[in-house]
Amino acid sequence: MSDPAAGSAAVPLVIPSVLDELDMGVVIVDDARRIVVWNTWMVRHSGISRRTAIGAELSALLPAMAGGRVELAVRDALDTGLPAVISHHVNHDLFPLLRGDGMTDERVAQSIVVRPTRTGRGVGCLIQIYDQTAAVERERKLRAQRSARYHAIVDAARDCFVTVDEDGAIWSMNPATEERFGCSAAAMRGQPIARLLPQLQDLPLLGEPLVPVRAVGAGGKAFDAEISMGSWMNNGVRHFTLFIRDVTERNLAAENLRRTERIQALGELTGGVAHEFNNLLMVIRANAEMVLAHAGGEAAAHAAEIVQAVDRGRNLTDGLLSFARRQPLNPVRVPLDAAVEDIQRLAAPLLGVAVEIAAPPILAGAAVMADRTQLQNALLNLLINARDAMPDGGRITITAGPGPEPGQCHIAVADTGTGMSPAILEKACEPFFTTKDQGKGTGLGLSMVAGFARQSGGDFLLASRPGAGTTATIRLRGTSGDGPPGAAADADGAGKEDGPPPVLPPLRLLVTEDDPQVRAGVLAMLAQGGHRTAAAADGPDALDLMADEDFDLLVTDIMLPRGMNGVALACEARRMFPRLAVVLMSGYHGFDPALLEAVGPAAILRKPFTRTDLERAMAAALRQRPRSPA
Amino acid sequence: MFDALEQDAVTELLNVAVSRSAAALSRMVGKPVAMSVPNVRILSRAEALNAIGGNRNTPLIAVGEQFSGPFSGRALLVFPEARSLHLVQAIVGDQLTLEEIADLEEDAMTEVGNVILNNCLSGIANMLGCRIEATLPHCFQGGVEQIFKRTIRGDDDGVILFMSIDFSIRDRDIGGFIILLLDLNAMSNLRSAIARYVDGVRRSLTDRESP
Ligand SMILES: Nc1ncnc2c1ncn2[C@@H]1O[C@H](COP(=O)(O)OP(=O)(O)OP(=O)(O)O)[C@@H](O)[C@H]1O
Ligand SMILES: [Mg+2]
Repeated sequence: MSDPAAGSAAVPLVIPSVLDELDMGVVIVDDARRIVVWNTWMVRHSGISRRTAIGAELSALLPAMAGGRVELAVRDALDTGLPAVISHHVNHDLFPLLRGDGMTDERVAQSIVVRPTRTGRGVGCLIQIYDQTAAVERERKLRAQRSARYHAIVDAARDCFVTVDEDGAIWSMNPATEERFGCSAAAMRGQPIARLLPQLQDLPLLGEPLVPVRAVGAGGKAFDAEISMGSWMNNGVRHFTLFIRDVTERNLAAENLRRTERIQALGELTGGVAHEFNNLLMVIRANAEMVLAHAGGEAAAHAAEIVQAVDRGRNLTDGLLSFARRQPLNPVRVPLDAAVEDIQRLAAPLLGVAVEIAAPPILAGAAVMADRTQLQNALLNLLINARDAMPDGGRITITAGPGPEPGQCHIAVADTGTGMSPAILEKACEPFFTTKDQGKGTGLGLSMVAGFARQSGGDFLLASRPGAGTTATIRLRGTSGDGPPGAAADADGAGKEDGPPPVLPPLRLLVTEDDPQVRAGVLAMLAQGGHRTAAAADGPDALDLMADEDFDLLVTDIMLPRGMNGVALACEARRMFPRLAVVLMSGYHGFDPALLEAVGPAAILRKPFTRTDLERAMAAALRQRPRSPA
Repeated sequence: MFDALEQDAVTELLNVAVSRSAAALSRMVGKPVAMSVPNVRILSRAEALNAIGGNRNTPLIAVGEQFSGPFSGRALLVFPEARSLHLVQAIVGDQLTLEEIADLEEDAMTEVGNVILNNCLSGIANMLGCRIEATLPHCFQGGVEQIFKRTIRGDDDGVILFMSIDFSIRDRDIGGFIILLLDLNAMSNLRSAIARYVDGVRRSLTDRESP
């Protein structure tokens, strides 16, 4: 009490000595805002001695703080008696204090309490300064640890992450989001999520586990997105992390798969129906030919009509089968230049004078492996489609050559016709899809072409825009082999289709066919050649017969019941009679070449067939049969 | 409880007080802060509960102070938690993450509440021509019922002055509520102070009309 300094400040002496022990800053100002207490902690961290501080006005001593929060709080405390809390989180202009611990010169993060107090002279103001640096540091580390892994994933992710609160306000987004949507995280902060994803306008959608939306990304490009959401609580407020994934490609793939599956199912069906039909046509034709052979006059003319109708029916089932990829194919080396030249010649009478047709020179030696007849059919179909698309005339350009993939060749037919709308283009290759008048188109053309291309190990592409014409491209396996073109064609006798029917010696024949009518038809066709024939309904029966008798030639269906198909039967039969000639009749199976190899040389005969076809196949089979070992 | 003129007077008084808060806040933020107190109502506790409204479980954050002297009672500033995060974000700036903001929300809100409430109280103190002592601000979090249970008890016989305040910082609009629970003596002191003030206004009006 006798200390003059303490007396003049009117603060009890004991208090400053205790204050100097504190691990916090204590400053007291009197009602004239002059400093009366400046404790040792303040001296140490401010670098301002007590002598300088005492008696000075706060804002004069520390001009940087003039007009700041602390000064205002001091004024309020003195004037109205109201206390204040001041945090370093919110304010930047607090006491200029350094840690001064001999290791760092960091500033002290401080939280301050300003409250009215009494001094010896009356009203005063107590300022308490707490050092928060350690706490801040600890928090910072914790936070860094907590979020390091999150950010490592989220910032590097190629998918979009966006955080929103329950009001739908955006809090943060990762770089992938900025890039995908062409926006900046800083600008989007606090904006409603609907700015990014308008469908989320409906806030109840927040929290749905999976929301499919159509989003508009950078540059106005729309894409299909799927948003999965996770929610978490933060200080009692629900927040959502939106994980936005672009699923455009996935959806597209799924759609393609659905389409392929539909076409496949349709293929199964049509393939099955066509097979049954082929058997029926076979029977009709065999019987009609019998009538034709025996009857004369009007009856013969009617029978000829029937035969013709059957041939048209066969064309139809051929179409169905090639769409179903179930026609027996006989791939041979077909040089492109020859194929294109042939088709131009063949098609010319069909195209009419208004349509001009041109083909730029084709790289000599370029060739594909394909069934020659089917390739011709396919090209013919494309040319007729092109013609139909140009009722007022136009130009067709056929280009062919190697590529685009290595080991591949393409043949493209381009027209200058009407083109197709996207909706038509999408369906054009489906069987029975046609825009042509009833009776004009069956809608099988393109489905056949596509089926043929795929079955041959290639594919078919259609590009078109309304008014801009159409380009249809068949891509097939190329071949570098320069063996004689079509060398293998003889195998099924198709190569000699136009020659006179062969003369066959009388033979011992075994016919195996499960359909009794077809079996009867075939036997009838064979009845006139002076042959000795036997018939079986399935493989085991046929083998039984062979156990008792010798045969020169086996004519068998490929599809047989009782677990033994025609190929297996032929293999088995050849073990008994190595020089047995074999004709395989096929309804539709696109058979495995490896299987055929197991049989050895055999002629393939597509159903339905004529007697001449059968005789040609038999002749071919006899020519090819293995030489006798002796 | 108040007639129309008195009501206007209280509203005006608090508007002046709150605009001082806005000035203090904008100094703190370094950005302009616009703030308004649309009107002042006197409500029962139940009415105040409803007025804060929303879902009873909507998380709120509140800052409360107790004041004493010739004018005593409690002051409460209430924000929906979601808004308060925006407010804190507006104050501390955009560079912090959501987690960081949530961490310092309580500190920042305590200070913001302190500034706003002190200005209201000192405005009233000025008008009453008295000093008000107050405790340091406290921060409460929870649903509206929970917060009221801890701050404005059901058996309180005080009068509740209820006002909603709106302010915007950096284009962000933040709405909240100020609740003053006045003890009965505080209320009567306030009324007579208002009467004096209104009298003064009336007198100046008549002076001007009859020079
Ligand atoms: N070159 C083309 N230009 C414009 N449209 C075409 C062209 N090729 C095909 N289309 C469209 O695709 C549809 C299907 O063609 P597709 O060849 O499968 O059947 P079609 O020609 O109608 O009948 P079919 O060929 O069986 O006689 C056609 O009806 C036509 O609308
Ligand atoms: Mg066609």
